[in-house]
Amino acid sequence: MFEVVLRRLVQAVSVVLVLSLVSFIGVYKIGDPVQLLAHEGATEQEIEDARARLGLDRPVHQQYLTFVGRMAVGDFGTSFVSSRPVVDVIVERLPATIELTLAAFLISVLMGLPLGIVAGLYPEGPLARTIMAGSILGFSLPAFWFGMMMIMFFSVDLGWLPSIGRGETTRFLGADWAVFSLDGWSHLIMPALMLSLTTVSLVIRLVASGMREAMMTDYVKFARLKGLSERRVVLLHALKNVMIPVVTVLGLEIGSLLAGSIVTETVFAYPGIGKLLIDSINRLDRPVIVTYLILIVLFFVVINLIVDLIYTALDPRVRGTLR
Amino acid sequence: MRLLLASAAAALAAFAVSAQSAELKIGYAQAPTSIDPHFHNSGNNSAFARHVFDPLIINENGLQPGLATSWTALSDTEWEIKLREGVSFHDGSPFTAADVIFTIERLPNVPDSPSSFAASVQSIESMEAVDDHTLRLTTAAPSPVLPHNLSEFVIVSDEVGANAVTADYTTGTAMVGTGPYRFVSSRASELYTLERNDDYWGAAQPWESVEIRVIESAPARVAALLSGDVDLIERAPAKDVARLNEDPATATFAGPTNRVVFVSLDVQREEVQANYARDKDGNPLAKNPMMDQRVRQALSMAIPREALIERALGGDGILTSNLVPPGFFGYDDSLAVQAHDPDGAKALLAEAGYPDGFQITFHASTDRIAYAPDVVQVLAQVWSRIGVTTELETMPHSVYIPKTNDFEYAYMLHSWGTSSDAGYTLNGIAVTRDKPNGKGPSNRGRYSNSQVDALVAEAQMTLDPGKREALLHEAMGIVIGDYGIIPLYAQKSTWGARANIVYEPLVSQFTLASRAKPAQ
Repeated sequence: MFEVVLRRLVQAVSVVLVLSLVSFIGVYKIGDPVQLLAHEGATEQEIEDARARLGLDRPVHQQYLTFVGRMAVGDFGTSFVSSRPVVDVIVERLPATIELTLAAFLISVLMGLPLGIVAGLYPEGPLARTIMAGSILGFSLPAFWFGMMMIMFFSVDLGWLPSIGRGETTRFLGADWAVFSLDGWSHLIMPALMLSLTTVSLVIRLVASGMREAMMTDYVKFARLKGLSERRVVLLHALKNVMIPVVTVLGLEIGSLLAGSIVTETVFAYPGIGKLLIDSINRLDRPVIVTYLILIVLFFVVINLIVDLIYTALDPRVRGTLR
Repeated sequence: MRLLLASAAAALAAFAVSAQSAELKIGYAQAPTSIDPHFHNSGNNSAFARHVFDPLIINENGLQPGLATSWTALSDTEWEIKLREGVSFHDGSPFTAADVIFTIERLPNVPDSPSSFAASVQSIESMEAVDDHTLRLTTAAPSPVLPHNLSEFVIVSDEVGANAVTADYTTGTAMVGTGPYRFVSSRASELYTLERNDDYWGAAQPWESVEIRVIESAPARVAALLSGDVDLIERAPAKDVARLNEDPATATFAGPTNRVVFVSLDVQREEVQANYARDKDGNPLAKNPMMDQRVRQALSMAIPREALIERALGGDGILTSNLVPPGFFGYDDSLAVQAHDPDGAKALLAEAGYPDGFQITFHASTDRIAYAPDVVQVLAQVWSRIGVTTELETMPHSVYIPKTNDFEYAYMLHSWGTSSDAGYTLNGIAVTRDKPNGKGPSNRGRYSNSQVDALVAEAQMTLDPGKREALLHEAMGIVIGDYGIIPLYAQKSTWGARANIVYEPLVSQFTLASRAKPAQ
C-alpha cells in the first residue's frame, strides 16, 4: 500500500517535470506577452524595460531553470499580468471550481445511478425507454446550448435563478465557500446541471447496460433461489458488480468535469480556475498557465490513485495486483 | 405646516429616487488586469480606475478640467497647471501639488509593470510646486500634446502611495483616491464593489453603491441584463441590439468610439514574404504586388464600405476617410471616403500589370476587433471579385500581435484608438518605424514616407493649434493618398441598460457609473 503511493508520487513528479517543460516552451513559442500587454503607443524602450522587469529578456532555458528551481521550493512565481503570486490567484479561484465539479459529480451519481438501475431492470418498460432516450439527448446536446437555454428559461423568463457569477461566500478552512448559503446554491445549481449533463447520461447508460447483464448472471439467479429479497439482490449483489466499471469511469469523469468546467464557467461568468486558464491563455500569462496545468496533473494522479483503491475494495480479485 | 409638508414631500421624493436607484450593477466585458491604476496601461484598467481616482484633465468631448482647473503654456516648453482647491482624498487628506509630483514620478517606476504610463510623462523634464495648488512643468522640447498626456493617468495620494506597491492596491489598502466612488472590496477578475463618495468635488452621483461584475462572454452579458442580474452592460453585440430595444425592460445606447479599423499592407519589402502573394497557379510572385500604388488603390476601391458596416457590423460603424474618426482634431474633412468602384479597381489592376489578378494571404486576429471574422470575410469576397483571390488566416490576438510586431505577415487587419489627436495616431501607425525614438511603434506594414515623417515631427513640436492642424491635415492627406494604410470604418460601441437607466457613451469606450443616470 505504502509502496503504491510512493511509486505514484515518483510518477507524478516526473509527469509534472515533463509537462512543465512542454507547456513552458509551448507558451514561450506562441509569443512575447509584453508585446501583447503593451499599450498601443508603447515605445521600444518601454517594451524592453517591461521585458527586463519580467525576466523575459533572458534565454528561455534560463527562464525555465529559474522557474523549476523556484517550483521545487513551492514558489510558482507571480503572474505577468497582475504581478500577484500565482498561488494566491489560483487558490482564490479553486474553491469555486471544486464546488462546481463536486456538485456536478453528485448530480451525476444521484441522478445517474437510480435512473440507470430502473432502466436496466425493466428495459422494455416505457419509463426505461424515456430514460434511455433522454440519455441519448444528454449526450448529443451541446452543453453550452443547454446552459444558455436554462439561463433563458430560469433567469430571463421566470426570474428564479441568477444567470451569472457566484453567490455569497463563507470563510472556511482558509478559503471562501458558497455552498453554505442558499444564495450560493442558487448560483451553483444551473452551472452544475450544465456541467453534469453528459456525465449523467454516461452513468445512466453504463449502469443500465451493466444491470441488464448482471440480472442474467448465475450469481443473481442463485441469490434469488436462495430466497433473498429482490431489493437485496439488486442493490447488493448486482449493483456491486455493476459499480466496478462505473467507478473507473466516474474517476476519469472527475478529471473531465474539472477540464469541462472551462466552458461552463465561461457561459455563467463563474469565477473558477477554468475561466482563469482561458483569461491567462488569452494574455499569455505563462506562470499561471503552467501552474494550472501542473495542478491538473496532480489532480489526475490523486484521482487515479483513489479510483484504484476503491476498485480494490469492490473487487477482491485485483487485491495485490495494484502497482 | 406648509413648510413641513413641502419638506416631507421632498424627503419622500428623495427616498423614491434613492430606493429606486440605490445600486448600480455593471457588467464589464473584461476584467481589469490590476486595480493599481498605474500598473498596466490599458483602456479597461483606466475605465475602472476612473471610479476611484481622478485625472488632472478629463478627456470627454474635448479636454475638461479635472483635478487641474487650468493649464497654460507659459513658453514653448513651460506649462503652468493650476490645481483644484478644496479637494480631499477618501481618507480626508487634502489634494495638493505633492500628490501630482508623486504620481508623475511613480508612473515610469511601477515594479513588474507589463506596460507603464511612462510615455505620458516622458516629455516632462522637471516639475516644481510653486505653491500647494500651482505646478510648473518644464518639457525638454515643445510638447503640444502635454495636456492630452496629462489626461491619460489618474492621481494617487502621496501619503498613502509613498510606501505602497501594486499588492497594496490589490488588497484595497492603497485604493484611496479623490474620485466619485470609494473602493469597498474586490474579488479579482470577478466582482468589484464601490460606494458613493459623498464629499466628491464634482457632480453628485446618483448611485449609493456600484457593483462591477466581469462577464466576458457576450451572450452571458446579454442574458444577465435581460434577467436583471445587472443594470448596465458594455459591448452589447449587434445581433442582440434589436431584441434589447424591443424588450420594454431594456434599452440600448450607441456611441462613436475613438477606434478606426484599417487594412495594413506591406509596402516596404520588394520580395514576397512566405508565399503571401501568388499568381493564379499558386507560384510566388516575383515582386510584392503592393509595392505598386495602383494595386493598393484598387483594393481600397473594391471595398463597399457602407455595405460592410451594414452587413458585417450590424450598423456598428461610421464611415471615415481618415485614420482618425470624424470630429477628432486633425481629421481632414476635405478627404473623401473612397467610393466603391469594382470596375475601376479591375482597370487599375490591369494597368499595373495584373489583368488576371493574383492571390494573397490576409492575416487577422479574431478576438480583439469586434466582428473581425465577418469583416475579413467581406474583404476576401470583394477582393476575390476583382481578381485578387484572398485566403484568410485568422488566429487569437495573443499569437497575432507578437508576429505582426516582428513583420512576419504582409497584409493585415489592424485597428488604432486615438486617445488624443491625429498626431498621436500618425506617429503610432504611419510614421517610419524608428524603435529607439518611439516613432511608428505600431506601423506594422512598414509604410514609410519621409514627407509624412517630417510633417508629423513638426506638428509634434508646434504649439499653435491652427498651424498644427494644417500640418496634420497635410500629413493625413499624403498617407491616405498613398493607400499603404487603408481606413475601413470607425467603430461604434453599444451599451445595454435596464429601462430605468440612461447611459451616455464616451468615445474612449470607458464604462463609468457616473455616465449612467436614473431615467426620468
